[in-house]
Amino acid sequence: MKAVIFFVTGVAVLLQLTVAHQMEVFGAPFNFVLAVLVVSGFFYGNYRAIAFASLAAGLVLDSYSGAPFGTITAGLLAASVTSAVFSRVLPREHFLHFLLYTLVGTISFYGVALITMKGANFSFLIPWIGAGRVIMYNIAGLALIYGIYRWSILLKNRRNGR
Amino acid sequence: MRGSRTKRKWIMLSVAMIALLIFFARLGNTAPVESVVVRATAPFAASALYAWNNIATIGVVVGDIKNASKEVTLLRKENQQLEEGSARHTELTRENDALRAQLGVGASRPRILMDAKVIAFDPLSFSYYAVINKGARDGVNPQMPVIMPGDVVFGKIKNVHETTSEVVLIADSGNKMSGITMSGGASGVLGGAKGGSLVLDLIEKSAELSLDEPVVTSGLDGVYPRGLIIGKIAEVISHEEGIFKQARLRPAYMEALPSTVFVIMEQQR
Repeated sequence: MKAVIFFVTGVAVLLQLTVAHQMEVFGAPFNFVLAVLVVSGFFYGNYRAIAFASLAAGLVLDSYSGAPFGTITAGLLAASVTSAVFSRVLPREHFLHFLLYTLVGTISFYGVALITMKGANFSFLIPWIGAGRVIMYNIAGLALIYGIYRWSILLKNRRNGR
Repeated sequence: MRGSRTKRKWIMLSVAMIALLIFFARLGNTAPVESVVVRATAPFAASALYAWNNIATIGVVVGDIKNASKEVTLLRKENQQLEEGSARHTELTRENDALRAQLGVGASRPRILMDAKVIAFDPLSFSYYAVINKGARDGVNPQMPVIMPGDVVFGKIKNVHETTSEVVLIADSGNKMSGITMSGGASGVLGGAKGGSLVLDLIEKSAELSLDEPVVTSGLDGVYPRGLIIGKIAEVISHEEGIFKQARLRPAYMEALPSTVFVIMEQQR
C-alpha cells in the first residue's frame, strides 16, 4: 500500500504543477495532492506513509511555488497530522464521517499555509474569506472522489452477486 | 499499544517539523534547496506539461472541426482586411524609411530574444508564478521581461537558478507596471488583482475609456518595453469622491497559456 500511496501522490504532484491552474474556481486550483492524502488517510489510515508522502510532495510543490518555501509542506503535514488524530477517534464508514474528515484536513492545510505565509501579523478575516471558498471547492471535489469510489465498490459487489 | 505509541511519536515529529518549516519560511533564503529540488524534478514536470498540452490540443482540434465552415467564412473576411492593412503598412514603412534617411536617424534596433519552455505553474496559485527552463547558465537575469508569441506580456524574471528561472506573472499582486490604452487616451499603473485580473489605477478622471479597448505597456516603468500587449478593459470603476478612476483588465496571456515564451535579453530603450 505504501508504494501505491507514493505513486499516486507523485502523479498528483505532476497534475498539480501542470493541469491544476486550468481548473481554477474562485481564483484557486483544485488541490490534487491534498485530495490523495485525505482520501488515503480515510480509507487506509497508513499514517506513516502519508506523512512521508506529504513531506516529499510538499518540498517539490514548494520549490515551484511563489509562496515562502515550506508553506505547502507545512500545510500538507498539518493535514496528515489531523488525519492521524481523526483516524484514532472517528469511525471511517459513513459519508458524513468522510465529510468531517475532509473538512478538518482541508481547513488545517489552508490554515497552516496561511499562517506560514503571513505569519501572526495579518488580518484574520480577509484571507479566510478567499480561503473559505477554496476550501468549499476542494471539499466538493473530494466528495465527488468519495462518490466515485463508493459507486465503483457497489458495481463490483453487484457483479459478484453480493 | 506499541502501534499507538509509534503513531504518537510520528505526530509529535510532524508537529515539530511544521514549526520548523514556519520558522524557515519566515527566515527566507531557501534558494539553494529550491534549486536542487527543481533541478531534480524539472524533467518530469516538463514532460507532464508537454503531454498535457498535446492532449489539450487534440481536444481543441476536435472542437474546431465542428465549427470549421463558419470559421473559414470569417477568416476569408479577415484575410481581405489584413491584405488591405498590409498594403497600407508597406506604404507607411517606405515613407518611414525615407523620412529616417532624410533626418539621418538609424533604423530601430531589434530586441534580442531567447526562447524558453514553461516547465510548471504555481501549484496552488498562492501567487502567479511560472518556472521556465532557462537560468543563469543561459544569461538570464532578474527583472528581464518575458513575453509570449504575438508580443503579449507574460511577466518578468524574479529568481534565477542555474538551469531554471522563476517568472512572476503580470497578474501577481506583487507585480507593478505602467500601461496605456491603445488609443493613448488613458495611462496609469497596473497591478494584479483578485482572480487573476489586472487593475489599471491612477487614471485621470477625464480620460475616456471604452470596454474591450486594448491596453499596452507604456515603457515608463523601465522593465517592460513600450507597445507590448497587456490585456483588454473589462470594467471601468469610477467613484464620485475620488480624483482618479480605475479599469479592470482581462490579461491577454490568460487566453492561451503558453508552453513557449521569450525572455527579452536586450532591448532598445
